[in-house]
Amino acid sequence: MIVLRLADIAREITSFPSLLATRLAGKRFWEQLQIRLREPDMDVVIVLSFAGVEVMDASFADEVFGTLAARRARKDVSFGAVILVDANETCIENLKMALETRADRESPERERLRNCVLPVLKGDEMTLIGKFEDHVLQSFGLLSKHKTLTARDLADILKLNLNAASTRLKTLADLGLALRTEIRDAQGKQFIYHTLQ
Amino acid sequence: MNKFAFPRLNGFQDLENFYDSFIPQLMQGNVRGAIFELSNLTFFPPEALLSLVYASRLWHRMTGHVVEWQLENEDTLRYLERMDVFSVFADCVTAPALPSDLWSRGSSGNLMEVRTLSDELEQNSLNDVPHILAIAQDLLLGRVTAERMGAACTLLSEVTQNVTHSGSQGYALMQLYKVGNGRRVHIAVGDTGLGIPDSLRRKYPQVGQSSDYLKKSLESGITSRDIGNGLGLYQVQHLVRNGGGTLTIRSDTAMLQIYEGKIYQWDNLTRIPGTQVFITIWGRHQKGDWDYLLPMP
Repeated sequence: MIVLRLADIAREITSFPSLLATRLAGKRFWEQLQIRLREPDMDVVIVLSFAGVEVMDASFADEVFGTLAARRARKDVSFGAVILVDANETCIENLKMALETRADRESPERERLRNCVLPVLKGDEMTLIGKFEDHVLQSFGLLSKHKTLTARDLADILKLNLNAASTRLKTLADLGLALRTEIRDAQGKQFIYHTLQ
Repeated sequence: MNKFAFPRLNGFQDLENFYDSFIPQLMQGNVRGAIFELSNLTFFPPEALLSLVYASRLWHRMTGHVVEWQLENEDTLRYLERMDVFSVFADCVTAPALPSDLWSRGSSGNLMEVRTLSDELEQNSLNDVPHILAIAQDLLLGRVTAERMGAACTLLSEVTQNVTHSGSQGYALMQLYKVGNGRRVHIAVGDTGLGIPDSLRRKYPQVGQSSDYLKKSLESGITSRDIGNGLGLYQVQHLVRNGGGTLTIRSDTAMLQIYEGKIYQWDNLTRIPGTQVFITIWGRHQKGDWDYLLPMP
């Protein structure tokens, strides 16, 4: 797990690192953040800490986290999983607005986003913030409860066929909401999905 | 000299009455100076302040002459001094000198003086807006909850960023009023550039009257830019509604107001350049202090 403090990154673009505001500052921040997210080991979870950030406006949130979540949902980026921590109510509120409305604000010519979501850790509880399909929330909840799941496990719990269960878990991993490891045993190749924590 | 008298400044209708006489005289290409007769005023609401500095800037830009603000009330003079009016608008406003024993800059923690906002993207986004937020944060800390401080800074940030769409310098101010146990926050931001209806009309030609464009500007995804996101004003109206506040946007010949959760649209007002945005949030909004809504026809 790697912890990055957003305020430290912000120091490179503004003299007010506790105030993450404006779309242009967000663009500059995103350029910096992308460099740090390019961790060669995809299994390393990157924790983005809001400690020291007092305000993040909606435009900044959209430019940084809306872009991250949307690009991940479209598989445009290959970053490892990211968890947001230490965010205050204002940051959460503006982040929520940015992620929930992102799909409606994009050009209609683009493929419509079905999910635009990031995991947020508050206390011991990991929640999803943004826009997500019901099955994403359901699978995420089950994975949080069981800590690890295979497609067979999920298929048994939800009475799904194996392909559907496998697709659901892969979607979680693609959205950065689960880690995936491959094992080979007597039954052949299979994936085990883990929570981010 | 063109004299404009202000027997009272108690609501947006008083400002509309002023524009009804001021803008036609300005458009006549009058090359004389102007007088704002403010002697009768004992209370100067922040909404009125933004409008009068805006008008003074316009007059100076179009005629090359200054506007003389005639004032007698020492509290009003002290307030204007505290709001930095005579420094930020030194080129276009003159007023009686404040007696030195009344000079009180820094004595009030309830207001943010008038700040200028560049329309140039880099200057606005990386310098002006963060500076304003830092001042607002200092002003609000300990006076409102952390959550409200964050929401007020978000409102201020989203509205002040929009000045870059106008092609003209803008101004912002903020003030707190103690009401009961809490505080009501007033935010006013204005510019003299391209108004919202004109900036949106190119991209959305069939929306309707000017006030329909103001309403459109509050929707998610609406922006004048070819590439953009249109999130700022959508979040502003969301926060205002959640906080039981008021939002007034005046631009072109239109006004849009959100008051007690309802939207009011007004058209065929006197055409003014640019956009003015007024927000009040939290605390009671007593009628009589400032009448928000224009009278119903």
